[in-house]
Amino acid sequence: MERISPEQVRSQVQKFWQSLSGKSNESFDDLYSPDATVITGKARRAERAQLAVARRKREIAQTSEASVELGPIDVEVVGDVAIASYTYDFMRVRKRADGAVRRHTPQGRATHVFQRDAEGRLRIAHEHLSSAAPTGVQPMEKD
Amino acid sequence: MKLDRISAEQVREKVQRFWHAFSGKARTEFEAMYLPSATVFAVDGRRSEVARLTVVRRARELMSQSSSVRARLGSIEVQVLGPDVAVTSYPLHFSTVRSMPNGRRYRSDIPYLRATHIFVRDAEGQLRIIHEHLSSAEPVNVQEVPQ
Repeated sequence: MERISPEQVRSQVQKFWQSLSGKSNESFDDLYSPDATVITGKARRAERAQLAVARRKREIAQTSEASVELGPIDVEVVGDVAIASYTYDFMRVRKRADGAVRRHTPQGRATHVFQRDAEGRLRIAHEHLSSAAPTGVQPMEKD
Repeated sequence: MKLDRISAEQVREKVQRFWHAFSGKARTEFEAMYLPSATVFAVDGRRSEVARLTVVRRARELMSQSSSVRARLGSIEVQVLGPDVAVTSYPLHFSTVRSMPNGRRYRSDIPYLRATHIFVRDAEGQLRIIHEHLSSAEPVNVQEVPQ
């Protein structure tokens, strides 16, 4: 099998954010390997990616607006594994029963570890998303 | 030379040694845990930096005589992703007293630190960190230590 290229990895990172922003039809589950782990938000420890995916699907269904800006994506390739680390700025507006809420992560930091599966596809084996600054959450004013 | 596949136990032992070297101020051992190309997201860093810089800063601020580091590790999850790569993720309670060049000292207590360490096997067969990501589940409270 061909060596993983940094471009392939960057493309997968873009797909991840397209999915998280609700701008992709690709299934969110397909991005992760079955045993993947995730550290994100206020979680005190890593959790199974399936749990994070289920939660994000609900959030994506409520999303009315989202934007993301990625910093340069640093890629290290070790055999069939690739490590991507980069910064991001993510904003999302979610519609909830009690009104819309805007959530902004201005200084996000991301580590994505990708592994090639049996079919040669790159899947996330581990993800760690965090922020160097508190995430801003504010209700949107009603029209 | 063909080496055995990395075991989860080997990786857990490396993680324990990492924090032991850090809290024991064993700079040489601590520095040797990282590959020369390793990168780090420090708890409060806005972007990743090369580990060499992180080590220099930690040695200056956290390994001096008037500094201290304490780490109580939670359960260490290990994913062996290939013959030479393993990912660890774990929670820990991390407390430090940081000494700054101006003589001031700052105490921080982070009860819910989350760590990701990615280890690879180097040419000598040693497991070394290629990437580190530390973050807190809650805002970090830092207080100046009275002189």
